[in-house]
Amino acid sequence: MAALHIVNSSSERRTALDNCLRAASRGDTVLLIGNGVYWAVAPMFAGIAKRASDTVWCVLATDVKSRGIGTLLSTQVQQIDDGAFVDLVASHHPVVSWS
Amino acid sequence: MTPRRILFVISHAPQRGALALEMLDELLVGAVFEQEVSALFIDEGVFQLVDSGDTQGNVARGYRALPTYDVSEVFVDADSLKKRGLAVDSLAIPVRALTRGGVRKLVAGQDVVVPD
Amino acid sequence: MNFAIAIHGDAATSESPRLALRFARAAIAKGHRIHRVFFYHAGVSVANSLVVQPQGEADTAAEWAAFAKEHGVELAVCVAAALRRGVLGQDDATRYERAVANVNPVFQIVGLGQMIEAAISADRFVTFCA
Repeated sequence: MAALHIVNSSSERRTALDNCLRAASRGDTVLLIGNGVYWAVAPMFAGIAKRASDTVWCVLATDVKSRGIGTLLSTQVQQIDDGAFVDLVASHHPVVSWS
Repeated sequence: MTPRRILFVISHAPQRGALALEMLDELLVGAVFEQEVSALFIDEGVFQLVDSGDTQGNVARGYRALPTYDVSEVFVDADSLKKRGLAVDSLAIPVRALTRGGVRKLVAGQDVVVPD
Repeated sequence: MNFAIAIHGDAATSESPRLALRFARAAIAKGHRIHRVFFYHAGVSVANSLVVQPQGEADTAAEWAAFAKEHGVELAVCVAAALRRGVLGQDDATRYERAVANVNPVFQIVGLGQMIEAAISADRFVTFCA
């Protein structure tokens, strides 16, 4: 089963994302939550997309909306609701949070 | 019940108040549950295995106890060491250095991953 | 499925308790169970009943307590991490001769073993970092 990686910090602590990319395997999913959603802003995501091309990328729609960045997002990142977050956890193993 | 594979990932520098010691406590408690427990030091987390020689607040001293606990293996990310001019034999305890592929395989094979 | 949740951040400086609450609500709504919610590191402050939220600001701790009562979810706070951060049950307040006990009684004060137990008993263990 593929792993789910969760990143909740932005470039303020960029090593969380760096470590995540280092440990993620092809076919894993990376979910950006909280301030982690700032990574999904198109120019930011372009900066990591090359390293991230073999993984699936999602963001929590609630966190995107509350930050007013909906129109800035990369089209390569899928917005999901909290229920779909639960589904991702249920369908992936292990679940790995990066601090 | 088959033992679960639990990996503790240490990715922060040691001196952040009590946080490093609290992670060590988690690991030591995890080790008494007869599961397959291992630890991965990555990024600035590798500095947690540098023994300053101080007797107070020196988490590396705490990690020296690991070999006496039932911890399957202690891993470090080889690149994280190299970037900081550290070598495996300069660390407080015996560790196994992993390449990027090794890190991926290690993480993918876990049941539970605990971040610091 | 049976989930265990760990929360590492406090409500005043981190979104972690709020994100975890949203996840927990969605999990229950989908018919999953929550084995235990474990508050560790700064997360123990969510159990501090002396915190006063200004009017008009979300009271995440109160919402966690209400959620736990409504759905019978165990909220557990690590005793060692709590003592360090001034979050004390009555027994600890007496033992360490402190003027007040301030743990919200909805929270169980437990040892770290309960975190490991939750992590190995549940189908999934999800940590919300600070």
